[in-house]
Amino acid sequence: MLNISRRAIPFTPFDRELSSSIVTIASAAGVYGPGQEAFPPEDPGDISYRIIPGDTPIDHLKIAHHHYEHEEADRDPNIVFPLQSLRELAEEGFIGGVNDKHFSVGFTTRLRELYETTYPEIADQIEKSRTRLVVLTAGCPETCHRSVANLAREIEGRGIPTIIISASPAATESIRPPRGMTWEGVEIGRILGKAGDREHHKKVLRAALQMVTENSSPGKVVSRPLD
Amino acid sequence: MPSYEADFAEFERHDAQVLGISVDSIPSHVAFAKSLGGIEKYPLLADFHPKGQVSQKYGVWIDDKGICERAIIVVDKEGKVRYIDVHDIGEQPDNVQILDALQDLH
Repeated sequence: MLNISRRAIPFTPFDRELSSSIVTIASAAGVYGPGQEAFPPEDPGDISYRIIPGDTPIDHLKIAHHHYEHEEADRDPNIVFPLQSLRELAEEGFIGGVNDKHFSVGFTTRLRELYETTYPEIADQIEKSRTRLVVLTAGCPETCHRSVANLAREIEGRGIPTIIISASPAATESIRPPRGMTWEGVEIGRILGKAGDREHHKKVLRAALQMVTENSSPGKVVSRPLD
Repeated sequence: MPSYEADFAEFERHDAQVLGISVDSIPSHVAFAKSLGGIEKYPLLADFHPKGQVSQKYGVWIDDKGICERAIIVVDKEGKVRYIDVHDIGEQPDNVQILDALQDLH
């Protein structure tokens, strides 16, 4: 676990071009891939994580999370785990590429173990990859949004910039994340928008990624317009 | 409660003892802790018999409901209350606020 005061905010300036940067997703929305075990369906959950290969078809992803409504995300996991949109932005040249590994956790109240064991492991793997930027999302409005902000702090402390797309700004901000963005109309379980609306999903993702290039004020969740 | 467990090192740095207290019984506390995957770093106290006596002394007893408020109270080493935050059951104040209150004690 990042051994700095909770009151300090780890912050790594983004000093590259998006168009040459490899991006990784890290999420606490309960997403898992083909052939992987679902997350436990009851409290206290567990501290395991899943590695989602970067070429996984979006409709092959599933969700196991009992603290937010994910019926719509079941139909289109891209709205909580925007792997498809990230690939499309890479094809358009907006980003340099999509990492070959992405990371996912489910709900748990075993936070100390999660922060001391799982999150450092995930951060280790990201640090040892070509990742230059990490996009984070979460499931439930309280625990998961706080939890994923801690993961952002852990990754940022390794020198890799992060951006959280938050549907629960107060919870996210309470952890003092390096960077957080939200947008008008965002909802729990629809972090990127409604199922199937790929253009909107990309707008949200572009706004988030663009915010990283501006090196905005650490510790805040900023509401961003969608162009 | 898990967030206090997760930030336990922060509280230790301020030489603070974290205690969780409610008017539920000890078996209820045990079940509660188990449901969260365990609370290992700090004790849970049962203000169960006489019910709510401690809560009343701290002014957080809700008489008509027979429960206590959800509150955070910082007591200094002389036993003086230095910080109180009473909040809705669905809210959880930022731990940073508590750490700030602890730093003010130094």
